[in-house]
Amino acid sequence: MAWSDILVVVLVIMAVDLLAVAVMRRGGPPRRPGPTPIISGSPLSRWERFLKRSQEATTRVDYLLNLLFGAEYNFWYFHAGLTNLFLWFCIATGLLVFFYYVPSLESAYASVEYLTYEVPYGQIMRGLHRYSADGFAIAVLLHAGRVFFTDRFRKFRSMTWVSGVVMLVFLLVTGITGYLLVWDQRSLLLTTMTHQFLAAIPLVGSYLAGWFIGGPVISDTTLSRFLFLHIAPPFAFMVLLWWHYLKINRPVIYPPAPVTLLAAGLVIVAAAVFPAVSQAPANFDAPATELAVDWFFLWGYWLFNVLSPPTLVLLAVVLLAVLFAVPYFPRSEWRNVPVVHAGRCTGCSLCYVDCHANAIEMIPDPYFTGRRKKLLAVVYEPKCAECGICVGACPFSAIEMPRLRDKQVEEAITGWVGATGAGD
Amino acid sequence: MAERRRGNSLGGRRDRLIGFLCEWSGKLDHRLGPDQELLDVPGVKVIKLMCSGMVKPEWVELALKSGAAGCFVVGCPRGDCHFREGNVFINERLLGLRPPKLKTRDVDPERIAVFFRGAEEWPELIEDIKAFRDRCLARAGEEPAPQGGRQAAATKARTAEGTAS
Ligand code: SF4
Ligand code: SF4
Repeated sequence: MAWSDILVVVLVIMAVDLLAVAVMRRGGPPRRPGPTPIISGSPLSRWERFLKRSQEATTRVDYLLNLLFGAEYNFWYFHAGLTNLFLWFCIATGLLVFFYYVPSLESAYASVEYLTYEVPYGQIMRGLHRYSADGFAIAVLLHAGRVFFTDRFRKFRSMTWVSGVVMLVFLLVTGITGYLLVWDQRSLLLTTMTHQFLAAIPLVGSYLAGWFIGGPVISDTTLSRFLFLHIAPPFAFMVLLWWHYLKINRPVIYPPAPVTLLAAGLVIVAAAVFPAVSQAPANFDAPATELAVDWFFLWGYWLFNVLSPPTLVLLAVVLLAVLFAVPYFPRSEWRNVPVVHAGRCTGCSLCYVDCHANAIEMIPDPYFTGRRKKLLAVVYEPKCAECGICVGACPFSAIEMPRLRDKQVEEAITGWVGATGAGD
Repeated sequence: MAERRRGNSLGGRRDRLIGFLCEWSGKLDHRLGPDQELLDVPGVKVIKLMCSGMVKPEWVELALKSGAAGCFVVGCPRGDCHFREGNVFINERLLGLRPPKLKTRDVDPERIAVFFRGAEEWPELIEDIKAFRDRCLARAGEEPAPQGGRQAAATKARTAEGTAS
């Protein structure tokens, strides 16, 4: 790569950074909370009104599903747990399939066929792996769709969304390379198309394309490269999931047993009814020109019909940029982060335990002058969801929402019931 | 009728109810009057919070001790709290399973309710509130008008039902 290329890359990165910083600063410093009556929530922008309405509409769907399944077993509520469950299905079945796979041009196809037709239950095993992956893709769509339409992807959850988008990219890599490993006609065509796509990336394209197939031409290295690209992302998921769960206290990572069994049952039925089979072996002399598209992982390849590889690269970049940016727009200046009254906080940690966003830290109380050590709750503002659950958790009224003081609530209660509070 | 009956030792009104409503659950905004009172059910004031988990059990105690006929909390359906666990927490606190717990010694637990209703389930929620109000007023009507302070009223409620202890 020439020096001028590197300079261009650095300049582009700097420009994007500056743009991002300018956008982030656009809102200016947060306004001071003014005296307010009992309120909750800021005035909503048009975008937020849309999200509010979609959130409400989702609860109607929930209601109907709850009538069918009951809230305890409504799979729609376990969108995140289901995703994780299917990931583990994929890993478990993938391990079994892996033992029979030989990553070479000569033997890859034959090894998959051997697994399918010679190994006892091989066909089912292959089907389970294939349909677990489809289940994973469906669960991811369900999960992303639900967090979007219930407005659970922005503000304090923005980093969780961003980590989700990174995992989505990894998921696509795993899914697509799964189709390449079979090394049938479809694999060959997909390899060619992916190679064209990567080669169309400016500056680094030719390097990436070469790296993808493990050299200038397709060889045995190609299939070991694909095997690596298929297996490495699930391992990366272990770290990425940690990132994904970082701001969640007590994440629900598995659905309840009946939903788990239902999911497993569906995968088994799919594997039995629609056996996973290969196409004809890859043939360099007569490559396929048409592709049977699996809509869960290969939808992007359909676009090759209508767009050229450079346009597809541009489209992918724009799509990714939009997905990454979604949780940051529009920025709301309205904040209602709880404040801790240090004098009243006994350090009991109840708020710390109940905070679902891990926004509260217990630190040694710097104001405490007694001999024994005492803890103090502090709220880490960027992580805070402004939900007030910590207020409900504090038995000492030591933590309060600045825009909804305890006193305001108490006055509203006694004002309505008509009591004076005297005569106690 | 119990609805006309007024107050206990604190001068509270026996026909009034307090409801805590989370802003993500049962959408009642369009059914509220200027004083945040529910137009469909007389005597019910709604206090909107960010999450039902913000409700302090002591607010519920305060409402009942001040003379409210009942007090209820509305949260998202179980398993779908917008802030993940707020609805479960307030339910557990009012049941005495999670600190800070409701002090059932001083209040009648029968006049407390938690409803789990999603935003679009507001017609069902209003029905729930109506039924709850009727229950509370009937229950408040069973008690003789309190004479001797809060504790006396609470004691009578206990002896009448034998529930709280
Ligand atoms: S309001 Fe309290 S409980 Fe809610 S996220 Fe912030 S610190 Fe945590
Ligand atoms: S619950 Fe209240 S007293 Fe306990 S640590 Fe939190 S702020 Fe302090």
